[in-house]
Amino acid sequence: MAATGSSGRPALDAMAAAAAGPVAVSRWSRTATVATSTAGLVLVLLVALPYLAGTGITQALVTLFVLVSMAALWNLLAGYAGMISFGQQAYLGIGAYVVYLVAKGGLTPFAGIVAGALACGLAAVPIFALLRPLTGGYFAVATWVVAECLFLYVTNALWLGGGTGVGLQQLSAMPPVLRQADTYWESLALMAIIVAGVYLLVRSRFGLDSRATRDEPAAAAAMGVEVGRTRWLAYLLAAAGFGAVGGMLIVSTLYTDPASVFSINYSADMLFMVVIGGLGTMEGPIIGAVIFFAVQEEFAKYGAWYLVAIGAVAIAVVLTAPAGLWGLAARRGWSLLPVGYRVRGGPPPGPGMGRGGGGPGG
Amino acid sequence: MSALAVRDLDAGYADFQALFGVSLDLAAGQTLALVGANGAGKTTLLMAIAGALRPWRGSISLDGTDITIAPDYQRARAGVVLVPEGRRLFASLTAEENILIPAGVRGRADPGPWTLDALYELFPMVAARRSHRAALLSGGEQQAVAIARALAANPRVLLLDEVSLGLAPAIVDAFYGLLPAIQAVGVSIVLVEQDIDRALAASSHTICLLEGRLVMAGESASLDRAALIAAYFGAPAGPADHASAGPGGAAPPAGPGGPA
Amino acid sequence: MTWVNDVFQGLFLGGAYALTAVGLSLMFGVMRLVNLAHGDLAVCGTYLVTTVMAALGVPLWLALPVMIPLAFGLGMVLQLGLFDRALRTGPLAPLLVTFGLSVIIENLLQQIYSANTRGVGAGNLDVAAVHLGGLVLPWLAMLKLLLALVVIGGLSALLRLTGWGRRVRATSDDLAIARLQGIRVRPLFATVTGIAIGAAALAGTLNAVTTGVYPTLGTLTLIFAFEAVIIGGLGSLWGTLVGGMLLGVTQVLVSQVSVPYAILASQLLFLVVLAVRPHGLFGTPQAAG
Repeated sequence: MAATGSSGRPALDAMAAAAAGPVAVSRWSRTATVATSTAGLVLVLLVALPYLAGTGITQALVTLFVLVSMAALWNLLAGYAGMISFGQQAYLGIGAYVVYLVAKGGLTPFAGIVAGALACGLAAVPIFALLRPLTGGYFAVATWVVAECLFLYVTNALWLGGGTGVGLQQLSAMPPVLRQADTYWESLALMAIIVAGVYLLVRSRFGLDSRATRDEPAAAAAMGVEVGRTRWLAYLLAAAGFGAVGGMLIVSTLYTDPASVFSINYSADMLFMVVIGGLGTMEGPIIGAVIFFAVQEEFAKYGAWYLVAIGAVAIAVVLTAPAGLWGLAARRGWSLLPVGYRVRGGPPPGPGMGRGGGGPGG
Repeated sequence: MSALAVRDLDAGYADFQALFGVSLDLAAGQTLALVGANGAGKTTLLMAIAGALRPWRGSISLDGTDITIAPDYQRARAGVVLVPEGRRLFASLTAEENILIPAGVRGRADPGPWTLDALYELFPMVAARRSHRAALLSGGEQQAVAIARALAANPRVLLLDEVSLGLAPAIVDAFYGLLPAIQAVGVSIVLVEQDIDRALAASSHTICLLEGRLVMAGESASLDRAALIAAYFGAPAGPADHASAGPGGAAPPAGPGGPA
Repeated sequence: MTWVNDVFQGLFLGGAYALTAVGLSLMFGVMRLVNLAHGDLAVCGTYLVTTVMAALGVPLWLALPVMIPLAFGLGMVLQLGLFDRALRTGPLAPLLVTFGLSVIIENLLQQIYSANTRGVGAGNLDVAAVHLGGLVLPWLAMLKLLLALVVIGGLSALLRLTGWGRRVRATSDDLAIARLQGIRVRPLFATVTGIAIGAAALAGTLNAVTTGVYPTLGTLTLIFAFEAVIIGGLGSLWGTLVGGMLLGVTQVLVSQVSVPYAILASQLLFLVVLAVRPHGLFGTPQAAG
């Protein structure tokens, strides 16, 4: 949300123009304006943070930014394009190993992150061609198998360090304070780009198409939405995003190994963040990521119980409040409508309508 | 007491209301024809009676027992059985297996007259194809299986949704020829039919729906055909209030609370 | 002669995969539910057996008859309490719910039993074998294949010949119409899931006799079961057996050339089948979706 102030982008200009017109339909509200301004201030503060706070805090924030980035991307797939993937760790891994190779070739890891995103975008083309006919559970497990194949391959690939993994020696040589600040800014920028990118995408024609595709694929196709193209675009962009995030992972920890970077646990974390925060909402994944981060920081020391609890909460949310915490908050804020299941349309029955009456009286 | 009584029924899908205050009564062994243009709410009404759709308002009762909130499977067991539009047989089951489905789930003490043998006697063409998979049968055979499947539940009320759709006229004639045999054992029938003449001929009473409202009702034999057609298409000469087309027609509607 | 022996070992392994997968296939076929916790529920059964064996001091053969009804009951409870509701909520909900359940189970097992691998003692059954010429036929592997045949054959007969099976198939064909014909779907689905979890728990326990069991074993169990189902084709229990056997034979043959790539080879086999025949060997194109 942070990077969406009054930038000069055409989509926003158009919206501003619409808002200024005589018709009182606006996508902005006073709350939204306040929130956006606050977000801008927070962003400025975050940029300046390495000068103000120690590496302990910036390190923790890097973790949070990575979580927010992953949640936003997973939500793009599941929440907007209706594709649940349990295999996005494939792209995290590709991104991480591309950074390693690029750094090994003498370039900066920053260039590696960009290369990782590009490589994942490219890799996604044949992978999506394979997965394209699949939907639902098929798609979800097939993506997982693809990630599992990469894991098995890398585990046995000596040129990629095999099962023991690889480190970023060049970065290890940098002064730690400087390196930490760099890492922090890169992860902050990455998060801002991803969140803003997803936001702009969702507000564009693409967003409309993808939501239509998610809700009613057949109807969307009938209305002229190119369902396949929408899914393809979402998948490719998400893959590139995950590649960059994977690059960020190795840059922040200076090390990666196949068992951790290709772990299904990343998919579990993403699912929990997005579902609890609010699947298919912009704000939900960010809120979900913050909650997940806080719970992890606070309770991880007691073992894996926190994952059991988060899993239970996520299941409860799916079954009782599909729009997540953000959905609940938004509903409460909107109006005093009773908590019904749906709005029932149509005029109330007029005085003459109870009449009718059947022929046979028995 | 009516076998089937519907009172002031409102129903619809999500935020679209398809039925507005529809009421009807049906005695045991009687046939009620339900006519109206596409989208008039005929199928919605049958779905609501069968329990596939929970009504928003109003009530439905079977032999005096309120079944408005009974779930669909209970209604089928209680004797309200739908022959759905487009047949919708269980495609991977054989014809006979389709017919055995209701027999296996019935919870009623009274077994009723429609045993497998009785059904094969009524539909010889089904008997001949009993071990064929439903998906491989012809349209007429599928329709016969669909009706036999519904009768196998020994229904009190049989809901027939467009049984003649897509079938050759000779086969349709044969189906309508069977209705008296079904009525004879006390089964009440609600019949949705596009062909007005056929509907009038096969039924004792006829009601017409227009845009979800009941606009005309009366005995089929005495119904003014021209008025019915006007009601069917929304009476271009009539006033905007469709509900007034009913009283303006040939048939005075019965009061909603008047089971004889 | 060794390759003949390898093919046999592969077929036995495939029987084990199929026994695990048959429940997944059944739930998939009847309810269109992809149970992502299937492998973890199989592992739960294994841990339950080890607990029963330790608590009562009984051998595996007495612990299994205690565990299987419990697994059946667990399946029914999950269906009635969780899966039914997920199926009603929307197309994404079953995936989200069963995946969440999978994470819960794995972490619970880790908290209760630790992350270490534990063995499942079965006397000397895990090493006993019949030597027939150059062939080595391990008793345990043959037992798993035999059980796979019995379970799949029994289920097919139940589905084809009984009223219960008729109602299950009718519901699988058209859920709404099945209800309108008087079928009560909830208990029907509950028994299906009970059978699925019971069979998975049996398979998981027998597999663990050879490999041991650890909390995250369910992940790989699910993937192999899923692959067997898809390769065989949706809605075909015998197809699932063939799918499992193809996976098993591929894995054993490749392991003769290169052990590290054996599992990768079977994963690639799955992706190849997906690419050239998405509805599987014995499935119908409409069922894939």
